[in-house]
Amino acid sequence: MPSLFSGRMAKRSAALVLLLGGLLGMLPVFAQGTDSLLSVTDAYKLTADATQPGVLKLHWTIAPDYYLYRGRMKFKGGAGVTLGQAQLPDGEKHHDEYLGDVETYHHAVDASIPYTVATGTARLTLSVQYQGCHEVDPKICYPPHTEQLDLPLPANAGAAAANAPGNALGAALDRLGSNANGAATDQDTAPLPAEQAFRFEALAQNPHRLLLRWTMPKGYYLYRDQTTLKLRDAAGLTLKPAWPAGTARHDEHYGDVTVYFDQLELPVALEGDLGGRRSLQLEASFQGCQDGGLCYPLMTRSVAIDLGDGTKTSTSAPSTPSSAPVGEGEGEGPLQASLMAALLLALGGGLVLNLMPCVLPVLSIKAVSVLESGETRATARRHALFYTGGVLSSFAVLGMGILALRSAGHALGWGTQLQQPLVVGLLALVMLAVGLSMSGVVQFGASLSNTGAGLATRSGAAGDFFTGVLAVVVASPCTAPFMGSALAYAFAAPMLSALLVFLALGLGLALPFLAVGFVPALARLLPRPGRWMETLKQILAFPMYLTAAWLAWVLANQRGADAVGLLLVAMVLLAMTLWWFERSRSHGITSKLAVAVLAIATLAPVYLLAQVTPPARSATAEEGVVAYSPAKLAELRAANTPVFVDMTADWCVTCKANEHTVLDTQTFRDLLRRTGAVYMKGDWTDVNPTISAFLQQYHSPGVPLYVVFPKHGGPGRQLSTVLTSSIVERALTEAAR
Amino acid sequence: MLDRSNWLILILAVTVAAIGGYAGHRRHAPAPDGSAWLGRPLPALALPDPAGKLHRLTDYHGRRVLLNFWASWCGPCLEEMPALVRAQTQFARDGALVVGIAMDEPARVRAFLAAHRLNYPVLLGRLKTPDSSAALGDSGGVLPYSVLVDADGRVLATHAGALSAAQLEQWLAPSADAR
Repeated sequence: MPSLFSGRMAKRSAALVLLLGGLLGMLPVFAQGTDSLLSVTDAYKLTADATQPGVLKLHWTIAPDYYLYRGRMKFKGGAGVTLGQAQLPDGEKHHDEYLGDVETYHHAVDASIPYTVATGTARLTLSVQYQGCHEVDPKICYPPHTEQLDLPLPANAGAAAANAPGNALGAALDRLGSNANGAATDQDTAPLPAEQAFRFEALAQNPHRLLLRWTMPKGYYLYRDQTTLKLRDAAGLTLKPAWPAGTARHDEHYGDVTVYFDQLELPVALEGDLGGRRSLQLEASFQGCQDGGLCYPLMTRSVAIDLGDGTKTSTSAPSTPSSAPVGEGEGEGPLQASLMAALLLALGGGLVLNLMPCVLPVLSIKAVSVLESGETRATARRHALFYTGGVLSSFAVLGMGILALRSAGHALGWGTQLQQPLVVGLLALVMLAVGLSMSGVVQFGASLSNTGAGLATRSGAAGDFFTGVLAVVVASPCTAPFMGSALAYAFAAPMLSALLVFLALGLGLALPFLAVGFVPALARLLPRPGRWMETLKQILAFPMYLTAAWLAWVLANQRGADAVGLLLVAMVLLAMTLWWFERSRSHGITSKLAVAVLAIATLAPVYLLAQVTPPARSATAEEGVVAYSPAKLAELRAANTPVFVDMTADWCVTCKANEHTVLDTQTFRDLLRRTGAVYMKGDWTDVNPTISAFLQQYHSPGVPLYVVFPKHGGPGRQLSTVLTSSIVERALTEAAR
Repeated sequence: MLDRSNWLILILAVTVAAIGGYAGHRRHAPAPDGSAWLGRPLPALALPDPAGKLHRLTDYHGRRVLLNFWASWCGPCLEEMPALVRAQTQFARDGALVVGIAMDEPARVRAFLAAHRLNYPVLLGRLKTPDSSAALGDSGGVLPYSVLVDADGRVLATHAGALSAAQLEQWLAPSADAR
């Protein structure tokens, strides 16, 4: 390793220091604060805590150099809410020349407001008004700011009648009354029969993992510790439930308990030897109450769980049609496959992924380099191995990343990185760079002088590894047919199984090249290297440019023409950078510095691209297509209309393909008309939590997701990710029956 | 490929530029951005005075005008007022005019004006969106906010926060476009 201070290096180091000095010198220019006033909600962050019944706690986090006036705080209760006197701490008192005596708060302030709610009030609504100023230059004041709060009521406050607020005896009497048999309280809704109030379902995600689900209407809850699960005729098998957090509650009857409102999904691990059993008989006993109403006696439900292919609903619940999803014999559908099946599907999916339009361009680079490296078997094997290594590592990292973020609560799926316009822009630039490399403008990897010397150099291996990484990066927006269920399994399975599934996907993707590298017979089938390779490489540059164009189109839909303009400028600068980079190979340090300058210049439009705000989405009223919203869906279902829900995204190639072949055709439109169905479309091109929630509900790893809701109630039926007109026809005619 | 030292230069340069760019662009939203208004003619606003009479901003054509948005609950605004009164006295003979636009409830404005004498006209700003100060670039509604308008009704400058004596002098001093 050459010392940094010998001869030529000394000159370069000097240049380096100069450059750094110049750039660092520019920093103070940037560091000068231009007016950096915060928005009023950033300067004063308000949080509310309504967990204690009868008292609302508010907390303001005040940014440094900002303050709030005590005297300018106003609170007003919403419908059915009566607020008492707010308790505010003493602030810093001073006498203002114009405003008189004022009290101000810096850093943080806590307030508590007692309240009562009228019976039947579902939520605690109120408006909070506060006003504050900025202490240092520019000394300005914000106009009074009002925030509307809408909070859930804590468990015990529900049925407290609006007697004289603060009347402790009255409140205690109300609570007693609410736990008695419901006669004393004014409940708007009569208690439902147990079957309707507590719906119980159970299914097997895999032979050793069950999922139990209780669904309750609003205001009904289930006691965790009063639930027992038993297996009939299942010696040697034990159930291990993994109870989620739930709501803590002090119950008059049971003391401090944990209860669940709305919906409880309970994963239960099944341990022991199944002994070839295909189904199990599960008996669940549980107890629950209606909040402020009556408590139900112990309920026992029996369920037969099919371990082979999944869901059965409780035998004593109102009959619901089986929710087995439709598939074309491919086993498409969430949570169906055991690990082995998932791995096989993943392998197949990875293999098919090679053919997807996203991957094909990268495949072409790899194809060319494989052909070029046809010298020795050893080098061919090495290239295949390093490529596979790149693919496997990237899949593992990508998969683990998504899983980690999902467990942290972010709604992510496969391909969601393309919801970020910055990622789309960067990918487009990467595609352009690779295309330019193939067109001969710039040379990555081995330099011109090395091509003949065999590609067994370190740079060659690194190049293969990174081609593998690139293949995965580019493949992410595409979902191949088998991938869907494999991914769904991976997202529901424990870490190790999920990792194996992702690795299997990677293996599938890399399989063609592994085969060529290791099976000499296949390698012999490959054509002999020659001058035609150069032509082929240049031709294959054009699919790369097309991919860049497609990504630019996605960006246009996400952020509009300005963003595409910035991207195009970045592309031009990138092309210039790469061209100059190639020319400067044989030139001195100044040319190389110019490359650095150009590279920085390329980053500027990219940075600005990330700042472009999303345009106000005007609802594109496509004829006959309804935009997805949970409220609208519920409305349509209540009106006994079959609904075809389509979750799609502009960057999702499979979605676009399905639209082109099936959903945008006249046949489909006629089918909709015939069955009286409504076509509902959800656009997941940008981050959209409502749609993410829907996807999670159906355990879908990403888009596309097609769910058909039948006419007369019942659960939605999920279709496979690759549609054909017969699948759609069958699903809709059944839904309309 | 680049040799080691060239890689070093390239990577370091890009990193430093990125840091610099990031540090420079750490802007919070929304800083009152009247810069969009510079050079543009004032919108044709018509606002009532505390007595109820409607005044158009075009009535002030021919004079350099300083529109000062304020409110009775805004401490910095009230601190700035004596300086504005002084500026009005000093530069009135040169044709400049200060116009106060109160972003406040009319009753409070009348009460304030009864207690404090001002030597420049005060108009009642529109409080409902789009409110008057937002209409002239004060997107966050912060006060005080001042807009300088030339004799032809074009916006020359905007400023959030109180104007210093030096700034007032610079804004209102006689200039080429005085009559």
